[in-house]
Amino acid sequence: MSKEIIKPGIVLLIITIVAAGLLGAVNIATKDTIAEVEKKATETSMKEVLPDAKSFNDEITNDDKNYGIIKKYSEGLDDSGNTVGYTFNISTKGFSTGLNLMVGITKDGVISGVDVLSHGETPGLGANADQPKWIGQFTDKSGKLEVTKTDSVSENQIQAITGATITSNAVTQAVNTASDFYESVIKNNFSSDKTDVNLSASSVSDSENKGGAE
Amino acid sequence: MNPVKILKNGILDDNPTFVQVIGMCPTLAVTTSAINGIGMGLSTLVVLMCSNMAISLIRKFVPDQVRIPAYIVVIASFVTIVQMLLQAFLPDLNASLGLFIPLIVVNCIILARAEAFASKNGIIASMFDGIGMGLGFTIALGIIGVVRELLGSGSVFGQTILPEAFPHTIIMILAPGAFFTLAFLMMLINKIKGNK
Repeated sequence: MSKEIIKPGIVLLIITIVAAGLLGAVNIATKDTIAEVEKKATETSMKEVLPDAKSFNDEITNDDKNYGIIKKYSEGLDDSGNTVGYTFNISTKGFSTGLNLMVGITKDGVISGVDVLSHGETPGLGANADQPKWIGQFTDKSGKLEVTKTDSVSENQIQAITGATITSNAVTQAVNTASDFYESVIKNNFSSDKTDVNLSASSVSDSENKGGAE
Repeated sequence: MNPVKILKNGILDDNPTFVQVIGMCPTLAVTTSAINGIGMGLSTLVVLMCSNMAISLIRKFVPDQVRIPAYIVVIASFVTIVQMLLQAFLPDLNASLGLFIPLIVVNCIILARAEAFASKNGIIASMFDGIGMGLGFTIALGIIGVVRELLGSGSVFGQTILPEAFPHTIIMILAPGAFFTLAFLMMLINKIKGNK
């Protein structure tokens, strides 16, 4: 009786040990490459949303709770080291969790591009947010944007994706948050004076004078 | 067993979607476009082929009482390894298929074939069974995807086919559309088969 229990148990134990060992080995073997690939993808995406930038400073982790969905941001520089704008790595929630975006904003506060890094939206509906035709609507817009469901799109409006209003709203809110963060936090710390650009950008995150522009 | 016969069995006689009606979750969920359907089908094919071979290899050591948990461990490990390798070495492919890979673990075709075929047959036969079933699944998902994408988005493989003026039937790319399409396709197939 007890033998009938012990033997299958041991076999199953061996199988799980082998499987765990294999998984661990593959994880160790691929971990660094995966991190590298992801970093490269992030850089490509940063260039895409802020095409004027030739190089980027290291990403800064945002710890301002008022802008919690902004995870990281980075300063884009031109050839001579002047700031041309910022990229914002945003992690928000659309129809499902895990909607990750890269938003580029020029130093004039104009959106230079938005890129969907990854998402878990409904295929065929919210997933269409990463189509250039839709996400391209954000480019060259500025200020507070709103979603519209009508065909006529005015200056500050983004046409919703058919059947995916929640996704459209989430992306638009994320872009608005990035704009707001740039206008209220970053701009206040780095006045238009170019010499400030090379100051340590980390001072941005511990700033308390958000909203001073309003 | 004759490999050609095993392949034909998977694609036609015992088609996992239209005849066995297994693996319905991914079938209904991801066939919103032709490319999604085929991507899911091909990822399943690879995992099914590998897991069938692995299970055939260990079939003699695994006691009956624990075979299901043992198969699940093997399948889940395979899927995870495939996903890690894709992330590391084929990031572009991973970007387009990444969504489907974890879904394969819960695809009952894999477990069904492990139980019904691989645990009773040799490695080579199991490999062909995996390929055959995988192809049958891919073709079925491809067809459903084409129908749904054409009616729901007016395009096939991302290429716009229907004129802009033709109204898109959004419901076809929502969940109900999957049931409609599947029902009509199965009706059609049963009709053809019944006439033979």
